Amino acid sequence: MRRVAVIGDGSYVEVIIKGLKEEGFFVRLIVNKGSDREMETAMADELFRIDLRSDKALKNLAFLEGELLIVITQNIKEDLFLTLTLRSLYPNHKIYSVSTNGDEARKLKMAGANEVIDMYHVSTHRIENLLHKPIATKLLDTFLSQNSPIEFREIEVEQGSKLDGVKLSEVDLSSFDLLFLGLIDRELGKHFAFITTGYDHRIDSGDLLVCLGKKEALDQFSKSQAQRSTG
Amino acid sequence: MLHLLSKPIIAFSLKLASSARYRATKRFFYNLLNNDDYPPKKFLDIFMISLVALSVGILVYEVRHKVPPWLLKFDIYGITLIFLLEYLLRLWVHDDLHRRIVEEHEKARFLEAPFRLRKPILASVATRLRYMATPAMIIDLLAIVPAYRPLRLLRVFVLFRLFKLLRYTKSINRFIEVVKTKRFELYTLLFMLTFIVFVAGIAIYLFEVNANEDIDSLFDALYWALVTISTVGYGDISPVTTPGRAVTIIIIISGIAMISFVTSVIVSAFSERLDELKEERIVEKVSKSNDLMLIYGFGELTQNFLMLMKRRGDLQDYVIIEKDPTKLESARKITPYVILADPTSEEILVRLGIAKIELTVLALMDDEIENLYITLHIKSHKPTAKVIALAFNDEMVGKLKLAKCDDVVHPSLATSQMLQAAIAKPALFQVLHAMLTGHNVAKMHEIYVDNSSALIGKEVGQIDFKRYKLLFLGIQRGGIGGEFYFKPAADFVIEKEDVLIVMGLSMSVEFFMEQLAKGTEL
Repeated sequence: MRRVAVIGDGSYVEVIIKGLKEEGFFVRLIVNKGSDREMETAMADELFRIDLRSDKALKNLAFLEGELLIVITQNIKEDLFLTLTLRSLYPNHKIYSVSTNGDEARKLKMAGANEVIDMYHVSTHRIENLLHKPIATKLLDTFLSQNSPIEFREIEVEQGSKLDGVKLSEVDLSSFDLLFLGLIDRELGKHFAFITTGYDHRIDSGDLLVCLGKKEALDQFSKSQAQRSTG
Repeated sequence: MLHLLSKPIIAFSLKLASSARYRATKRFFYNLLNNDDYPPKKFLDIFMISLVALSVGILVYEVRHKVPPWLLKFDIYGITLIFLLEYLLRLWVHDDLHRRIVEEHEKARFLEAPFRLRKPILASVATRLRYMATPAMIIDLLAIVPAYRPLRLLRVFVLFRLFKLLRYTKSINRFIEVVKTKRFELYTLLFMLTFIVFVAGIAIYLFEVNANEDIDSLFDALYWALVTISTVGYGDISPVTTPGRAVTIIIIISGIAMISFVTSVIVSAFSERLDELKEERIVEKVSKSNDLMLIYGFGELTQNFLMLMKRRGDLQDYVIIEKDPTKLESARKITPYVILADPTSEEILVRLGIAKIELTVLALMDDEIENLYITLHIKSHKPTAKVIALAFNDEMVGKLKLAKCDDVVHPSLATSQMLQAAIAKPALFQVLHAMLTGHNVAKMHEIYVDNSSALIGKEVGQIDFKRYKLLFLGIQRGGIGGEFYFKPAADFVIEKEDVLIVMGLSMSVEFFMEQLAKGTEL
């Protein structure tokens, strides 16, 4: 089971932990000693109260290899301190954080965070989209909701797949009733290439595709990928 | 005599009271003369200001030049007639004699008492006389007087026409209103000034009248005292005796103090009213627009939103309502359109005239409960307003929907979704991030099929979206609550009012629309 440690007890920690639990993560919540956060309210699997300013206490948590660390104290100074400390104590772990503006995001990245989610960046654009493109925005909400029949899915191109060696422009997913949004071309790094840019990448095994379609169609497509790799 | 005329007068008054045309006419003139929010008043104000300027201009020009007779006649008769008409109209709209007569008549009938016509007439005359005694009406009357040109002295009353400008210029009126708030302080200073001038004047008269050839009378001494205390100091009269100079020293120091006091009183009056004045200007400006956005709360989200809209050059008329004075100061550094008000204020909604305009409301206060209140508050006043509110948890989202909030912004949920994607699905995270933050390559667009669109009747398979580098997601039919056809079949026929949902660069969509408008084969 994948493990995540959420450090801090910002007011939206519950929402984040709930989402992670739904994805099947084992969640450890680490809060400051003086915090009155209850495990029940946070729905975490384990709760630790430590002095977040103590290197020793953080070291004693002994995060496992591959365990992901999320820093959310809702105080930028604390977030920066924690991120820097965790980076120095756990140099190979992935650290995620949440900021409220671009300046904070830059500082957190400098402090060692691998990924920073700008909390209000998405919401700002959401307001803009609700005002100018309400239909498209609501559709996107639908695609992202838990029970939507249409969803996004990330699919890895397996070795020996029919798509291996095919150019983007030649991809035809019509038989699967899917839309192909783009891919991460491993050869070119971790950057996602959208199909709308017009660049005609060649798909290789190991590349990550992102498709949009009905659950059944996506399942069928994933299965067809797996079948080809064994057949 | 009045007794004989009672019946016809009552009948006439009742007829006027029931006449919609009469009421509408009176209301029209009342608004035209008194209601600053009535659009045609602006034209009347400009017209009257022009007449005043013309009249005063003729007076000044006449001093050294010959004015054409027709222009002079226009000034004497034409302009004066217009001013007289205005004066009479103001008197007419100020009170309703017919209404008083009707009320008195009904009262008399109810009490079974004799009807006295004199009472309502006297009451109306008294009201009008009081009105005529107000400074504005006195100025209006004096502005009519210069018509009688043979009496040269009366010509100077043309200058009173300049005072008429006070009626038509809001900024001067505002200045007067602000100064009025410090009436007590200013009267006190005026009294002190008068006292010092008199004392100093008398003193200098006593000390200098026999030694100074420039001071012949008490008037000269008082004149000197006023010129000195106001720090003007023409130099036409100067003290020559030692006691006179001593008095001068005292009066100069007093004068500096007086000027400072007066300045500080007026400045403090303005400072106290500065926020109100700024607000009035904002309200005046935005109440003229047909499409207004009200933003409650100046937090991070509001700031980010404003910056984004300014970058896009896509900001409609808006007003921010903030109740925290410290946030207000920060807001004013970024935008002037901020009002300090309680979100619960109904008065602000009335002043903004929301009943007559398209209204969008963003409830972005830091407190979710306030956002809920704002939603209900706005919807109760204007059910058609579009309300987008900020929430921080799922329960509040539900409550906002119950309150008929049109859309909810839930940053925690979005953050959670992004975090999950970032952790578990790096490719999907990039897609979501790009789509949710409006990256050009991943923007979703709506192509609306209006009645005249060339897309009507076309099959989806006939449109080569790939050529325009657009990813065609599907068609929304029946508006927001309607049905979405994801990736419809090639023979799916497009109908009017369908909305095509595509993804791609803005320039791709623009090019597509251009080709569509040209009738090019898509």
